[in-house]
Amino acid sequence: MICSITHSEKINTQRSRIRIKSIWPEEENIYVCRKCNKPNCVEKCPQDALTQKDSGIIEIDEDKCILCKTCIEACPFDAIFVGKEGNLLICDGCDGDYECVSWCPNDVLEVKKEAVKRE
Amino acid sequence: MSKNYYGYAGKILEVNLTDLSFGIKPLPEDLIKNYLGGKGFGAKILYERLSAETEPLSAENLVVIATGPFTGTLTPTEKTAICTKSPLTGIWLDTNSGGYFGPQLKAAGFDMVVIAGKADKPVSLIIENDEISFEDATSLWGKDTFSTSEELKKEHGEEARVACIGPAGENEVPIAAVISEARAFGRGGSGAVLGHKNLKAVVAKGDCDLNIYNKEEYIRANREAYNEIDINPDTGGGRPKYGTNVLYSIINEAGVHPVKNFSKSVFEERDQINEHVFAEDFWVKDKACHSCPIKCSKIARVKKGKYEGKMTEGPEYENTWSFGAQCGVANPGAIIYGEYLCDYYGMDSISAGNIVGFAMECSEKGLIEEEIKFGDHEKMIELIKGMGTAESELGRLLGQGVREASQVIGGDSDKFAIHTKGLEFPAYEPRASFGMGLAYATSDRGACHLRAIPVKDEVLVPDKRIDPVDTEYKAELVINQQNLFSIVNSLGICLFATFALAPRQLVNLLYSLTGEENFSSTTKLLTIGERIYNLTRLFNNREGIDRKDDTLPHRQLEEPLPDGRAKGYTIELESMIEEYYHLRGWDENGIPKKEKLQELDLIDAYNKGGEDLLSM
Repeated sequence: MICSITHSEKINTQRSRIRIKSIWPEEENIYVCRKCNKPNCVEKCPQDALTQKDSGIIEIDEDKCILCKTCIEACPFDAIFVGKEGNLLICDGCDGDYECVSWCPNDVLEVKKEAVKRE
Repeated sequence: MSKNYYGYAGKILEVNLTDLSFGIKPLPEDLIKNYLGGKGFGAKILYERLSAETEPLSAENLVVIATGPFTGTLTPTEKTAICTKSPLTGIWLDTNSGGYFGPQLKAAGFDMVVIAGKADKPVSLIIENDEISFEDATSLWGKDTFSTSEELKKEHGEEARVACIGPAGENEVPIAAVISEARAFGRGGSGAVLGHKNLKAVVAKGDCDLNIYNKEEYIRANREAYNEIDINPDTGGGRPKYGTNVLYSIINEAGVHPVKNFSKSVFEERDQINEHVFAEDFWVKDKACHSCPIKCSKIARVKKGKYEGKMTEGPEYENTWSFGAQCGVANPGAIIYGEYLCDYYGMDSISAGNIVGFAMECSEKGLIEEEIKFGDHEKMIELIKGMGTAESELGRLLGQGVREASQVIGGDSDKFAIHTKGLEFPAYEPRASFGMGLAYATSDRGACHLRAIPVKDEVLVPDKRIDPVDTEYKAELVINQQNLFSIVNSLGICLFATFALAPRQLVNLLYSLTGEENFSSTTKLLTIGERIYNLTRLFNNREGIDRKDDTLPHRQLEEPLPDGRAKGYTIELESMIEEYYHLRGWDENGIPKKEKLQELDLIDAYNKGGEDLLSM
């Protein structure tokens, strides 16, 4: 919820870059960009619309993106979504603030430094 | 969607099941301003559109499923209301549930669904944004609530949320509930009303935006609310750890936990089913409603013994009582299975347990033939199934509730049929908590702990407690809570979150979300609460409810409590009721006075629906 408010000013989980799928009673799955060391989405994008920054964040060049959804197929974590306006949604780390991590009342989410360390 | 709505989706869906038609209307601004949401919306609509002649189980009765401004937002934590005329009590009913159905209804773009008419065969109502459809539900009819929602989710997608009835609702059992994925719109029989209308399920999903009036302030207010909830010893300590059973030992110690159909107050075997037993031996996972940091819900699994393999989401404090001390049962597995069955059949677990305890007393007194002894958990499970399926004669009788059942059983069973206005008591003994007695007697839907819960101030608060067995200040306390809780039940926020939040904080959250001037101060907000409570009172007055009905069972009024902290006490109700009416601005017969209705801007509603009452 905080993701959608931060990025779009609206309350709408379908605008969120982090998704939770829960299957009653005990299954809960979180889908969010893991900032892979060798991101398959970047590699597979036929348009070179995706680049990875030093922080690990995947950046989208919306001019180049043709919404072919190859990246969605390529992501091993199912963490790329299509938003309401037909735009790609990938976690941008809120410029380092990670609002979802900061709001999670159960400390389920954590930013791990190792995961974003680049060579 | 219009930009003018903040916090609200902005639309009402009106459905007529008789000809399977629907209409979409904008949410009126004066409805928002004066009635807030949830229960408030339901009260306004049902007061205007139903009459005393409307039979609860008829095509003419309406079902209003209403969210509030906080439902489906960041604000902790969500609730949604179903309002209708109750088949169990014949009067006003609003019943709340948490979970995820309400947020999806709002994401589909609707603050509220108003359901009229009666389908000629079973149907499900499917709401996917503006696409509204009716699906044949013949193949779902007869199915339990778990399989029903599983099948509907398979068809409409995992993100779709389902509220449905089970066999109890289909059989129009008056204690039938509407179940949304293991969470219940439990009390008062809303499931039977849907069953009569042949509406098996409502499915909602969508991706509509909700606007925020002042994002910075709203974020700040929510941050504060999350922090308050986190540092509060209840909502941030005991409740996340023990669920609602956080109360269990304290309430037992205070002699407020009713035992064996309210015949006493000390349950010798209480420690076999206390909060520690469930937390240590049964709970495998925490569960939370939408946007909820409290996570008071738990998944319980029975790992050994007779009930091995059984599971439920719970048990909550109320069910630990209703299938525990109320029936003299100290078997945690039986309590877990009992609660599961209530969800499975779609039935109110508070009423169900209360009724089984009543049947046990009837049996021990020789008023019914079947031998059902207190403590017999196998018999308890059998009776729950009997009520849920309406297959056995005794099950059918008991499913009518204790008021109706006691009239058929006769003897002096009406003296220990523990209900007010037809709704069975929940898990607090009024003789040991006078405040709860007044709360039950004056609750707008019959005996209920969620219109006011004064036992909190009598027993549960760490300091500044008020005497539980005295009448002083109880009228003020109950009135203030009833007005505040009317707000809570209209906002779409959970009562538990408000245990940590001051009314001012609710105002900050609400005003920053909606920007509505009428919500900009505590006084303004509480006036809305008072208006709603007076309107549900008018609804009940129209049904013939007055002072004679604002009462408690013979047991609480005449039989001294035999044990516990309040040993020897009966409740002194009369003086509290008189003070209550006086402070409410109601006459000595419990009818709101004209001046009070003028003050609350209710005189128009009154003139439309209640001319006869004015002359009383």
